[in-house]
Amino acid sequence: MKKIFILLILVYGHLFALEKESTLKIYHQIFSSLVSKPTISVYTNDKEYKNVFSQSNKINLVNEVSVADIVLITNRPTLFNVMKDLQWMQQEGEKPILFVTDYRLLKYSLDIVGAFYWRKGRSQLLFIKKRLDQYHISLPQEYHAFMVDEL
Amino acid sequence: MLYFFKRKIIKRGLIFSSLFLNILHAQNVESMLQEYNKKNALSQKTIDENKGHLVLFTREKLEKMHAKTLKDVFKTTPLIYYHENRYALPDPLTSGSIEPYRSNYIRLYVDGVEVTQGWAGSGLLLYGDVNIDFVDHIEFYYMIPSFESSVEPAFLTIFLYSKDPKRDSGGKVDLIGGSRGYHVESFNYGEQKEDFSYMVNISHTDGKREKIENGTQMPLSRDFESLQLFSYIKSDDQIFHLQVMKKDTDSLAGASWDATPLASRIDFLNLHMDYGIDLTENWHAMLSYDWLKTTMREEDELPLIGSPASNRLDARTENSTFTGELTYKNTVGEHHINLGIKGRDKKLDSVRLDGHKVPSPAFDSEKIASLFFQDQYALTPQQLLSFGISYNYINRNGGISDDSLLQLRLGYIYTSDEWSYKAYLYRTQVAIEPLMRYFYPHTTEDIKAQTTLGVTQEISYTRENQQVRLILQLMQDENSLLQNTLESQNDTKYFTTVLNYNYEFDKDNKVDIQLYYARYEDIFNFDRLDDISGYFSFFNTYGDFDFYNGVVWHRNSVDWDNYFDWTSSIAWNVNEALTVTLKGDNLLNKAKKTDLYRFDITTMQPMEPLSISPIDQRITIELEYMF
Repeated sequence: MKKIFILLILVYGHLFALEKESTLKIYHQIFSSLVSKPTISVYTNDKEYKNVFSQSNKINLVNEVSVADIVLITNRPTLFNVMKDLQWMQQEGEKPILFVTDYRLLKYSLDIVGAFYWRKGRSQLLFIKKRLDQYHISLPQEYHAFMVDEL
Repeated sequence: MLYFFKRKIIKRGLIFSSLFLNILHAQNVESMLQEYNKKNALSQKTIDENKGHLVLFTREKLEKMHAKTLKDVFKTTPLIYYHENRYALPDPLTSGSIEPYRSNYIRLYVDGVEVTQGWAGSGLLLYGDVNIDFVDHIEFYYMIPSFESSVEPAFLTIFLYSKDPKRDSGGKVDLIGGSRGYHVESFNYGEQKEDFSYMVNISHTDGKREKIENGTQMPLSRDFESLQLFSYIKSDDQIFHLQVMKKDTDSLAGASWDATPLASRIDFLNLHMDYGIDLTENWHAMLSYDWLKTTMREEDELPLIGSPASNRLDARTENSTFTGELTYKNTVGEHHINLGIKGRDKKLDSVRLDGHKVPSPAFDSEKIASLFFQDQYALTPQQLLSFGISYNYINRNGGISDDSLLQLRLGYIYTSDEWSYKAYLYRTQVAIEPLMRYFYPHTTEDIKAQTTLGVTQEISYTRENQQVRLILQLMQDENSLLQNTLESQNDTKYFTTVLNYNYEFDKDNKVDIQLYYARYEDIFNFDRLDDISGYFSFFNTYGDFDFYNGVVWHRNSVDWDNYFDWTSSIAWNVNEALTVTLKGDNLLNKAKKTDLYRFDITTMQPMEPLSISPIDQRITIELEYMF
């Protein structure tokens, strides 16, 4: 059923690039390693990720950065907007975890703890240890192969 | 004592369990990433299983192969593979004889929109060895007409899909230097904004190539220089492409009967623009414009091909093509309906000889109207039945006959988690090139459109890290255009089979094997022709180094000679931004050669043909920097 359904979907109308099942699986894994909560509040303004995350019962999509546990950023303009919000929020002592889908965004803010991105047709997972330490996050052993001390 | 022993055992057990679990988790993350890679490759978004039998080059595969031009990919495909004609232009169906462009039944698409050279025919002419730095992945669909995308009938459709800034944002500079002074410079930049994205790619190639000895002091040259721009801007429901290609090429034997030209050169300037919009959820419209300026300079001591009274040609032509289409897609119950109307207007705008404008020939316009309908019906959750019909009407001026072509296709697809099966029954029609009719009216006036009847099947089995696939095709041409003897009364018959086996040892080590066998009857003056090829490729990664080794093997019953084209590369990923690659093409210098026929025009006797490979032996070093 699934296969034929996919077949029909693929030839029909406007398409999304993200495959829901595998995308949710990997992001559940990543987010759970960063936040130890049964339900994680995530902010993203990306339509595709919103569409995927809305199918999850472990991810609660929120509309404001201020109430998010994790902010998923997919482009530079959004990052700069979020950074502005964060400046204000740091004074309040609240700080969501920033995670990006583009390696190049990592250099813009020390608040970004990691990235899940594409490089030459392969997905890459990367965490930056020094930045995780700022949030007092200690990742499980299985992620150590995907960690670097600093950028 | 026993207590401590037990504790020790338990502690060791716990440590072991912990280590085991960690390894298991690590494997889980790795396997999750692999699964994510497979299911989220952009190709998964564009592949249409019902288009036919697919040979796919994913982004990962293109990167690992270090494929820089479409030619690097096309030389490895089964059934129809890369060739060049006597003008050194990409023409896979060339027979090496004196003939107009022969590969118009192969059509090329960029992001789903056909790039055509209008009057000259298929976009392959100019884009057959295009720099593919802007490309994410490539799909080759064989034998079955793709009704949704084609305006004119085709046996092979090649789809190039461009990179998406969502995955390839930022810039990239690529510099390549190689044998004989060959060098390429390419720049790519893409950006994802909140509501739209754009990409620009500019590349320059100075294609210094191997010379071909022709027994004179002036060996044949096919060096070229090209400058190409590819760009687009897109939002959720609209896209606009702009492509410009300038290619100046030494054109090998050109119009010289005996392949001893004093001068042989063709310069192209091509512009392509298209705009697509989703009008509603169901309706899509597309408009495209192609313009091509061709300047030919040919000179020989003896009269040229096509110019019995002259040994010199300095000609410039300009032509333009407008294409429009309106398509509708909807799902009603278990039926997925797809229909559309397409139109194309080709016009030869101007002809100049020796710098002076001359009247265009009587035949200077061709108009094509196409209608198609396709229904895909889900018989059961695992089975799909499809029916397609397409009608093309081609109208020409200058007394050249019109064509009325009908294509039909019936398909069945079965799919489960591990097995899949496809079968197609089809009838397709193609007409002889109008230029053949124009130039050789007496010998071509009775030639009817070729009708091909075919049945094709594909069965594949996929399990975790391996996949095996078998494609079988049986076809028969009535009024075959591939027979060189026009008097032949027999139908051309084909039997082709392709076997693929892919095995992934782990995420860093992979082997792909492809074997191809074809038997043709009554084709190209042969009663029977057997054609065999293989493509064996190995992809390995060790630490920061990527290795690729690919061998293309060819052999056919003309002489049973074996040809091997070995390509090898080592890439050092210095860091996230910089990669250095050393690559060798055709390292054994034994890539497939084909004959280029020559004639002594004074006696009109055939001379010994020249044996030429379109694949140069070349070593390159490449620097790739991303920012």
